[in-house]
Amino acid sequence: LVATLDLDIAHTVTRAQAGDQLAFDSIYHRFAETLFRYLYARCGSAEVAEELYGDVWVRVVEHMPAFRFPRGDPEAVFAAWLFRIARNRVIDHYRRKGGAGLPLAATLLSQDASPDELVIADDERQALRNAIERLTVEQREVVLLRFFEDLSNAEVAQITGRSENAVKVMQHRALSALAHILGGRWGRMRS
Amino acid sequence: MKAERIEDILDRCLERIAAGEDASACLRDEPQHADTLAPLLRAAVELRGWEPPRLPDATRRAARAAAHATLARQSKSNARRPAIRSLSLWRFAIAVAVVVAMLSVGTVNTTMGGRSLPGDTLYTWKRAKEQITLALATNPGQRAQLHTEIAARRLQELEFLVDTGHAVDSAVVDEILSSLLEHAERAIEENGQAPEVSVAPMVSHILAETRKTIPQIAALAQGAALEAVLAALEVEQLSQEVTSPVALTEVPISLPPSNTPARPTNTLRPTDTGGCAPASPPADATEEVVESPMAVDSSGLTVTPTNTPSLPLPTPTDTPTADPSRALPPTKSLAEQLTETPAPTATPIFTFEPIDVPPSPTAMPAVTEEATVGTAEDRPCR
Repeated sequence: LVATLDLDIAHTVTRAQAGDQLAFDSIYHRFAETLFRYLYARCGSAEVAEELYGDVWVRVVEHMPAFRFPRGDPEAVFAAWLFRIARNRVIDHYRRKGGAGLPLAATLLSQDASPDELVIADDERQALRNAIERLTVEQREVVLLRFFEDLSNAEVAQITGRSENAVKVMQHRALSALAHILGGRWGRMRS
Repeated sequence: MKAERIEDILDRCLERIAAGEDASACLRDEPQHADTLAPLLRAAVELRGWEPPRLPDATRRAARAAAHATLARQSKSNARRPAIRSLSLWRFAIAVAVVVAMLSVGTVNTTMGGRSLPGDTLYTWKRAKEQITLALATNPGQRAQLHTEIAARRLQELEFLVDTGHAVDSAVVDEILSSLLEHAERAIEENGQAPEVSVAPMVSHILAETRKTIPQIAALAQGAALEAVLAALEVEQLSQEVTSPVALTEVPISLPPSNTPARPTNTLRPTDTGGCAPASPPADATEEVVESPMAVDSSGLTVTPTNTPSLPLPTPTDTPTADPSRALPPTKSLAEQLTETPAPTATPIFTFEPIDVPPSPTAMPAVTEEATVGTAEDRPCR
């Protein structure tokens, strides 16, 4: 199903726009996890991501009739459109909360913080997760899209509304932050 | 030469790793940046092992259900507006502009009353507006009233032609009469499905007035005599379908003389669709056989003028009019209207009475609707 969708996402989206539920299910099946991961990346919290997830899909359905494929890879273009909807939903969410709900990591991470203080978990996987959650929202977004969704700089730039140069800068900062956070653990492992 | 930015060098290395190269190969190629790049590339490699939280099944199902509900709601909403949805914006704009223009022109026409006639540019718009208005009517009652109004408009057009006194094309008369009869008929049909309205009195009035106008218009229309006669036949037939209890005095058709010799014949009679007894002349036959200035030959197709040189003069009768108390308040009985008419063109022959009214004793027995409820044996064939 996913392979078929990949081949002809434009046709599937067109059918979904006409109210075809099966076509919509194909899209949902293809992007369900991707969209959740993206929400998680933007929220820094699986719980908040779950809270917003259903609402994002409702917005996708509501806006789908107006969606048009511009030039470019249809899959990437459509994914970018989905991510933008999710992104706006998260922004709305935190705006309504007056910024109080912003993930702590987005504001508290400091390059000067002690790696020993930041790396809490001993488990390698948990440590990585903790480190990622300590990134800023923008850094986490770029990390997710570049290293998990395997999108190009150009695609990330399209989704985030930044230039490719800005994406490269953000990517560098994110990896520097992760290296700083994880560096203490790497040192302990060496010792 | 400007030094390459660390962000660009890092990105190039990441692309090489993503393509399957080892990180150490990149560090070897960038010895001056190796110390800076090493921890960054290691972090990037570790990210490959990152496992973001997975979407819980319950959340997945709930979100899908919510999306389906929205999709269904949207589809239903779209189905209500298929025409508009299927139009692109510019086509929709053009359609709106055309409709507005048609309605505007139609309004102008309405204010002009019956002045635009078949053949005029505005007349086409007027008729188009009528069709649009009818198409927009949502129930039989509305349609019955609209058909009645349109029939009245056709009558207005006929009267306008008469008032001008100029010769008119028979095709014009034919078109107006056809439209008038069609809308009168459809008004009655629609009224049958809408007991809450009653257009029958108005339709009766229109038909009676049309009957009076036909001889006048036939005098002006070159070659329209046949159409006029055929229309008169239809008017009479249609009149019988109108079952409203309104007094309706029929006016005989009298057409202008012509030079062609002709045979005298009977006046055209309303078609009696019911059974009848063998013909037997009534005691007082004056109302039954009237010399007409116009005749139809045996084929029924050729209209031949009679040898009566002038229009029949109105004959005073003592035929009582319908009981005024039975006539609908806002509508004058046609008998009253005839009384007001300064120069009737023909002698009233028969009167439609309400069905439940017994025949009134008259000096000149009238053929009334009473006959339609009597037995076949009671009703004389004509």
